[in-house]
Amino acid sequence: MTQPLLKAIAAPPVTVLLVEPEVLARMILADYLRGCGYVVHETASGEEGLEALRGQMEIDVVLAEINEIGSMNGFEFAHTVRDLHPGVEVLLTASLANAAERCHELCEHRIVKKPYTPQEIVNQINILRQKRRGRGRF
Amino acid sequence: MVSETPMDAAEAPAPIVVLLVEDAIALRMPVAHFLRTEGYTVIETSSAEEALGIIASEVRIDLLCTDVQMPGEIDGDALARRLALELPELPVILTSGAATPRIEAAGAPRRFVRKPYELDALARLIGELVGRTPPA
Repeated sequence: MTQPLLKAIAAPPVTVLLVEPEVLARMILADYLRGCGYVVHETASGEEGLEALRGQMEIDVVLAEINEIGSMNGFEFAHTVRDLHPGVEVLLTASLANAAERCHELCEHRIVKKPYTPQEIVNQINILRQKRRGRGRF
Repeated sequence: MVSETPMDAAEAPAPIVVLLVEDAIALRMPVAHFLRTEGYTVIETSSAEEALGIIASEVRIDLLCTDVQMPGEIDGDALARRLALELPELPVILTSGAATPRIEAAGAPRRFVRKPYELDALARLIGELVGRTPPA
């Protein structure tokens, strides 16, 4: 039995807070992580993320991008989270591809894993983006 | 999550997909979490504009559950009216803290639920409007 598998068996369900302004990317990344066995809460901005952390639900890991997430960027958000919630692990991502890689890495620690590569996650998001562009606004 | 995507093509039976539109994260997070524990698939959006982006991407939706009062150009009622044109059969639940919100949407089954509401009652209502409960 490998070390990661032992670790996964011993670990309780981990809760991830995803901070991602783009709804399609947020939906697919959150769905992927849930498929790996994580409890995932979704927020669209840093402000929402901080409010979620102030709430009643326990959060173990925050995944946020470094760019603008509402009125702050990811670095400012991470700084605030580390100040106010030192027990929460913050993972910052530099791009959609990087976010997909991070999610894939997180899933490596779970018993239930989805067999998709980070590139397939990105492709999935891009397919939906293309459809949305094709339809335009109602 | 979405039936027409390669990621979930093998999953069966089809999940019940709820498009939840709620700008208040303090409410959206527990509602989405509860519905997921009940077996529903929940797509979370914080505005009507985000919800329209989901619809435009052709993700399959079984029910819209939207707050009526929301910031932005489109409120929940206007969103429901737009979707009534695109998806006339889509059941809709409108929620509001106001006793008598302005609701002009008509068409598919729709209900008004006043806030605060019981989470299990909302889950039951979703099952009733969709016509089935989530797969065990």
